[in-house]
Amino acid sequence: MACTKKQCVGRGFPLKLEANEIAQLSQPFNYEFVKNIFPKLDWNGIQLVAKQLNVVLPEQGSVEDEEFVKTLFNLLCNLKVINGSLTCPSCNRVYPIEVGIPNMLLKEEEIYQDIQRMADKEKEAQEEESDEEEDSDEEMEE
Amino acid sequence: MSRPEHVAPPEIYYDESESRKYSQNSRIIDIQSQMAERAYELLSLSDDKEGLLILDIGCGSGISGDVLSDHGHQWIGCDISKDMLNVSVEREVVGDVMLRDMGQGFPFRAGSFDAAISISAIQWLCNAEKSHHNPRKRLLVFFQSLFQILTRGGKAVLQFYPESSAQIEMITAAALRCGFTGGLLVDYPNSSKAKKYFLVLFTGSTGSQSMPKAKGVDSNSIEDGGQTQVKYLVNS
Repeated sequence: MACTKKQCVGRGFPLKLEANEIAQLSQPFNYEFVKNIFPKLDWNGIQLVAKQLNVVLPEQGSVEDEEFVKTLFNLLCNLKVINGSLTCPSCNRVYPIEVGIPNMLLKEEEIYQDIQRMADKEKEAQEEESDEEEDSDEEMEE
Repeated sequence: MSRPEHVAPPEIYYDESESRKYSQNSRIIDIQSQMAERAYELLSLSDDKEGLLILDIGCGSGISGDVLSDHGHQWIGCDISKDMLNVSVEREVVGDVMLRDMGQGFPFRAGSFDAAISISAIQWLCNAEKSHHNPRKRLLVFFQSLFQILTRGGKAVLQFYPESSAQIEMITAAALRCGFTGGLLVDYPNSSKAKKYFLVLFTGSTGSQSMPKAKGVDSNSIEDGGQTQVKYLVNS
């Protein structure tokens, strides 16, 4: 399956796919799966992935359209990136894909970075809030 | 036999030779697929539902995933052992696998999965393998993330080997705190060998979802011992 639903936790979506080696699989077509997954897909993300893998998808699709459904199934289930990478659009962290396995493990310092970043954000938000309060105070004085 | 959790962290314990053993030992394969079959049964998906997307947590060499494929579903698996995943690639499993520590949560969009199963994996979360590991926190991150990536009305069946009742308590309490309903189901509670623990979780309310029944429960013994084999999680 194309890795469109992978997300760099809380730090950006979709991951940008880079494919160096692709394998064409031959799973039998499963209409129920496409019908089921279609409403859950991030269409923008899918379009980007399709472009990377040279798959032509119409701008809009419907599960009633047989050709569209088959193209989508092929993209989702039968194109496997063997070698490549996934890059977070927000922090540019690169997750390598080797022998078809994306490595999504975070390092110890990255887990902490995450928490630290969240703490920083909260702090910033609080500071902004207090700034606003000050502003409004000033306005009232005027 | 000592518990693998006491020997080494999972990514070290399941090295190349241990992973190979897993994929070649027919007894291990049998037990794994039986438990996966049971876990699938406990999801109680109606027969006409096909082509769902299911997450396999701690998928290993993909034995449990094969069961999902046989039922006509697509699956994505994650495991922390690279060697185990390499075996799954060699076995040419149908699902997709990725390297990920479940204690760090799952990198998927909210509501992506219709269901999740896990065979003999989540007890690992109770161990602190690294100096920065905090089991309680990792359990919370795990269940929070699992709750998010499941669709509303989604289900998860997690088979695990608890070491003590304190571990069961710790795991179920974490699941409950993250919004899950459901309960602990014990198959063959009176047999030391066949006894199996399944945590059956729903993202919706228990009102619309009913707990499945445990196997191998002698009704007399329940009355005598005054024990229930299916424990509901009660929100206190």
